[in-house]
Amino acid sequence: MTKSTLLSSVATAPLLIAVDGDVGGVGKSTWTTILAMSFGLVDSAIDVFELDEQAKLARFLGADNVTSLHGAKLDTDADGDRDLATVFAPLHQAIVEMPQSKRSAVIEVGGALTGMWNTFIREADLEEDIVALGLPMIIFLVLVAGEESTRQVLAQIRELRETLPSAKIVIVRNERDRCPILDAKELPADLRKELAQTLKVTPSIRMPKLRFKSRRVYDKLGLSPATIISWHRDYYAEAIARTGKPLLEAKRFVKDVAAWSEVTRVELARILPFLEVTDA
Amino acid sequence: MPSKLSEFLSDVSSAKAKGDAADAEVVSKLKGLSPEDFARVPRDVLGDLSSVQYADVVGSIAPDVKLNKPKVKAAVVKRQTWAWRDYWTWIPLPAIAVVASLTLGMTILAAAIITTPLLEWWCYSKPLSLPAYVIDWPRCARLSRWTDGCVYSVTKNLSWKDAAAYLDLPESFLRRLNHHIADDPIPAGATLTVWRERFLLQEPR
Repeated sequence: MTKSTLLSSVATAPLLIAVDGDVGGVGKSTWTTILAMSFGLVDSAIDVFELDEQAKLARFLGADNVTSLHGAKLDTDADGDRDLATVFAPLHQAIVEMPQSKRSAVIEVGGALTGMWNTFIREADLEEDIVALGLPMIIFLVLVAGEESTRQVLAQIRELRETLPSAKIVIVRNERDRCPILDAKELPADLRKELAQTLKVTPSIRMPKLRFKSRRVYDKLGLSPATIISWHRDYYAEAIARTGKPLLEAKRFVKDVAAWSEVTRVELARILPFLEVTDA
Repeated sequence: MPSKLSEFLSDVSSAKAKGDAADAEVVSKLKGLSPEDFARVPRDVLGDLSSVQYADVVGSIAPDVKLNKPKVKAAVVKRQTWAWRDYWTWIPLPAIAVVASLTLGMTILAAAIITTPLLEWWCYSKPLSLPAYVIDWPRCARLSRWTDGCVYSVTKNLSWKDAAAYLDLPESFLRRLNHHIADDPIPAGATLTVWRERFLLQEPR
């Protein structure tokens, strides 16, 4: 049912990446964190943009490393006309400078802000920009088990095929609660068929489940996985201090995060091979 | 290999190894418990164990306890169940309702057709008996094809032909049975015996 496809045209940086899924809490920030970490591990520069007022990414990656687009504040404008160009200006500038700066860019579209993102794509004619600049673009759509998420992801794929035909779409199957593919049998028949057909023609990768206890601590800490994993070096003193757990539990937490983030990173590297280990 | 990635992979490897060692330590401690102490272990500690680790601990503490092995074929059965459900959801609901109604109706009709003769046989095959003397027989409420084993008091003149028609009996049989009535028509006040020779007559005492 699933298909793993290497996207040869995006085998090298810089590239433009969008992480979307519309529904809130599906793991977009988690995925973007892993993405930013993976770029950092191979010294590939990446600018991170967050179209969300929650500043979740800033918590995980550090406020200095994330540019917030404050998209949700647009609705409070009095004139009624939403000036999206102002909101997306930092991203647009980064895109235009990409061929010279050689820096990739990733934008995480916050929950329920996909409509605004789609409007920007249409109004700014992003397709024309990326084609003119010769920029490869990948859109990761995070899917969790359930009807709402499936509907949103499939609807967004239909939209993007029309507005951004040159972008590569990749479905991220977040197995946080249940496997979205195994759980598809619970979906209405029409939705199940559409998902199966979409997965046949669209590359998809998995984001494995992090043990519930460890996920709770991970979300609470708001730190990069690489930082958490490095805690093993000082005999878990930092892990014990930050988590408030005894040594054994701290060790298991670090181990869970290590195993989970490594599997996720390897899955990501299947799509972006330059993030994988290479012999120097 | 980029140095940061190399360092990260090394960290991952070490953290996993140390975590595994921590897991093994927990399992080892649990295995050393008595059954009574094991019963007092908090649920969240046991919840962290994998099914293999749990089986290992239980096997060590209570070797006599045999835990059920996971059923590998369960998924296949579930798949089959789903195929049927899928099939049913594909059929429009009104069509299912029509088919169900027709099936139920046909079943009731067939049951009625089969049970009617059975019920009749059951009723008439009973070894009912009547007193030997007609004077002891019950009164007939009316003359009909179901009337049997009783005596009817004629209230007004009644022709033999009509009486036989009411009772669905041959007129000659009715006349022979009631040979004590010589008149034609049957006069009012006469007692007409109705007996279809289906009941046993009791022996006179």
